[in-house]
Amino acid sequence: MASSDSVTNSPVDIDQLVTQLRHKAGTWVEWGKACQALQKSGLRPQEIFERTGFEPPQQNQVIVGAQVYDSIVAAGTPAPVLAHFEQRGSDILYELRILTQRDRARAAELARQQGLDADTIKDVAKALKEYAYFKEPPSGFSDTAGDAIAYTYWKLARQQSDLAARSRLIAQALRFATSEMARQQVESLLTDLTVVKSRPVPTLPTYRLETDSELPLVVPLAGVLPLSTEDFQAVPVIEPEEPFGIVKTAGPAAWVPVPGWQVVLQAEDPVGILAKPKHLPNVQNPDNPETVLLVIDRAQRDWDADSYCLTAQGDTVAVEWLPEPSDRQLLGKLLVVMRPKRILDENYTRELMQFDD
Amino acid sequence: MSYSQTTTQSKAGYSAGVKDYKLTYYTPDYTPKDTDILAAFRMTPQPGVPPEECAAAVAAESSTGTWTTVWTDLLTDMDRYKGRCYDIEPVPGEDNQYICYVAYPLDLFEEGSVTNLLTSLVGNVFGFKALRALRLEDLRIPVAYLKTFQGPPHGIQVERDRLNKYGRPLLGCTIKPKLGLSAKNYGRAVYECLRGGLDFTKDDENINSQPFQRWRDRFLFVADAIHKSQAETGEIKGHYLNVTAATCEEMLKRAEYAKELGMPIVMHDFLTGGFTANTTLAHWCRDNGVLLHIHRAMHAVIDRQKNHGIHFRVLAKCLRMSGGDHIHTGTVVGKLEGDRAGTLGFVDLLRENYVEQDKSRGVYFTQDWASMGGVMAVASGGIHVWHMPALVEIFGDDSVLQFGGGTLGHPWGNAPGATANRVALEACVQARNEGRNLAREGGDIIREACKWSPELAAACELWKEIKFEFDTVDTL
Repeated sequence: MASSDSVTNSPVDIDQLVTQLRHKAGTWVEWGKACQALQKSGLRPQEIFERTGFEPPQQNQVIVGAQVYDSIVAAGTPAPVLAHFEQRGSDILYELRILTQRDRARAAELARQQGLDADTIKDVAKALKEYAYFKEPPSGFSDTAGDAIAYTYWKLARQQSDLAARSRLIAQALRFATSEMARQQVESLLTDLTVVKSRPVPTLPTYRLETDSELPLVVPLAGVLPLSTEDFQAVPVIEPEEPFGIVKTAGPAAWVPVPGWQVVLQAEDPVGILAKPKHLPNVQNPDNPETVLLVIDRAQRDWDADSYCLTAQGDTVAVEWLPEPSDRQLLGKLLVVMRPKRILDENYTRELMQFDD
Repeated sequence: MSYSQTTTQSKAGYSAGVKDYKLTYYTPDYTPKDTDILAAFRMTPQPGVPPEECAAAVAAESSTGTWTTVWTDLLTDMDRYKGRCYDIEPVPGEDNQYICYVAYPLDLFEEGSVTNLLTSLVGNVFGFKALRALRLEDLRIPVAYLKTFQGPPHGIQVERDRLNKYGRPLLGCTIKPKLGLSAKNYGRAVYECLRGGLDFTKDDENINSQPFQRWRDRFLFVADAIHKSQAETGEIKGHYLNVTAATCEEMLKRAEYAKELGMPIVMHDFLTGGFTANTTLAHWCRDNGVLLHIHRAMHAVIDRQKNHGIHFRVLAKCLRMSGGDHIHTGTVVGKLEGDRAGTLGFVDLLRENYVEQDKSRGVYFTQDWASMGGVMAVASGGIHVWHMPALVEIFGDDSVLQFGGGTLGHPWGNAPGATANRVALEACVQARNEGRNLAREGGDIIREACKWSPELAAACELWKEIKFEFDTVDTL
């Protein structure tokens, strides 16, 4: 390889190299070294073209090809392979530039053995590069260049359901497989070719819950405000069973589903109460006739200036905000006031599906 | 195989009411024809909706179907025009997602119109109530349809011939700050970057013709910068002049002016501008010998969610058909999104002539591009000199590596920043050609180059600690 050390800027050398290229004297490897030497001496590719007839893309191909050639020499490639590529195949060696020295040598040998053209060797180089990312060869394949390429085609054939395409890929894999185990691995795909396509069984309608809120929590309903303290405290504690939140009850009781929001799931002893807005403090429209659901956590009975709580006022319960600690009995913390879904397009949503025209 | 293989189950006369899509549009016996357009949708049905019904609804709504039987159904040949769901498979590792494959007859689509293709395929179906989410993962464009598109104005090889640059990735830089520079200062930054060794500089995607910098002023100052840097370096240089505008007429007017100034390349924001505008510009670019750089601004709105929207590989394919010589693809390394296998899958779809189906890389269909020109992949965003070995290893030669902050953030100025990148690139390419392993020895290669390039040494010192170590959202 022509290194920059061997290049001088003397006009004699340049003239000599230009003459060599113009006469196409020597091998293409020598042309590559000459082109590189000329470029390093300061000649632009366009000038080299004008003086030698080597077009810039051709200069690039022989320069890089010669560098690859040198690397396969250094990697100890057998002499017949080197002799073959010294005379021809700059386009093939050019495609191997993306590989390491060892893989270049193996690919060059394969290219010579199989008489591969530049288009095929491009695919081979990509396959070898991908194979090199494995720490060790995949199961059923060995560490040879042929097996690396066979693996790529095998992998593609496995995914292919079209029989013609699958057969073509299997044939390619068999062409390159070098080890017996790789060959067997590829041949095992052949048995699948006889499978007749039948009408598939309908898919079982399974659904995996993705978020907590998809599963409601069933909460005991204490009643409707105004409500007595006794009734409120008499509601049993629920113990939902994983994974679907099953609740077992004895005797008559009312229950209400609440979305599995984090605030509800974290409650230790949630209880529901129905109420009208007029029974709640600090509402904007107390005359609103809609019913709302209050979710109270009876386990949280400590005073908190940032929360509303349920307190005992005589015999009944009330929702209050206490700006400072009070002697009043705290029955639980108000977690959420749930309002019913507002339906603006009630008629429209009775359609099975809603589309843009 | 003929269409009659899956003939619609007709009843005598007209029967009003809501249809069961499955009867008509779910046809697992159907073998797709070579001329069919194939689509792979990632589908998340509502709980309890059978995947077959949901997939059939997708096929119906993206082709001939509507939600109820209509009188005019009897006036069309449904079996000729309907889309068919021919396969459904669960997505490995995902409990509620399925890939449904739909085949569409070619007659459903207008020749040479990406706009029509997308309006048909994804225009209406994504809001379908039976679906929780839907994502178009991939398309197979048959050769018969592909041949009605011009494709990239020039393609990779012609671009290299025009620039007279071979055997290495091209280097670019987006001029920053994004907004606010006057045209004169902007031109100066362009000149410095190009003189320092870059091949291209770039308008930011939102630089159009704002009050602080009208397009004509920018074009003039940039043209000066390019002519001057070309004279000084002896290389062909370019600046992606963003011609995106409010109307096609205005866009073409700007492109004409760029051509008059002798500029080799213009730029378009293909998603915000729209496919009609993009195809118009691509045709103009081929007719006028101007390269076309494409920015994908807005893509993350469409492609980032893993279960809803359109995967970028589809947008990339559409762009190749609509026309563009470069397109931004993400970097895999750096600050922007990109899973390695998936990115390389669609980079192949942009550049190669024939890509085999390989689901491990997100390629759901074998795609034959029928000699349509290739599009250069542009890696841009949050990259600097230390990323160079990985970028060369991942993207190979037919790419543009675009260093914005990685050039203009150099402590010594823009030109030294550009020089540092050029030196790092050439060192990596040289080392790779000599057979060194960039993945393993990349750091050593850069350090060796630092010994004879003080500009590179300064850049390496500055950016040694900057890393973007987050998992990508969109993985395969």
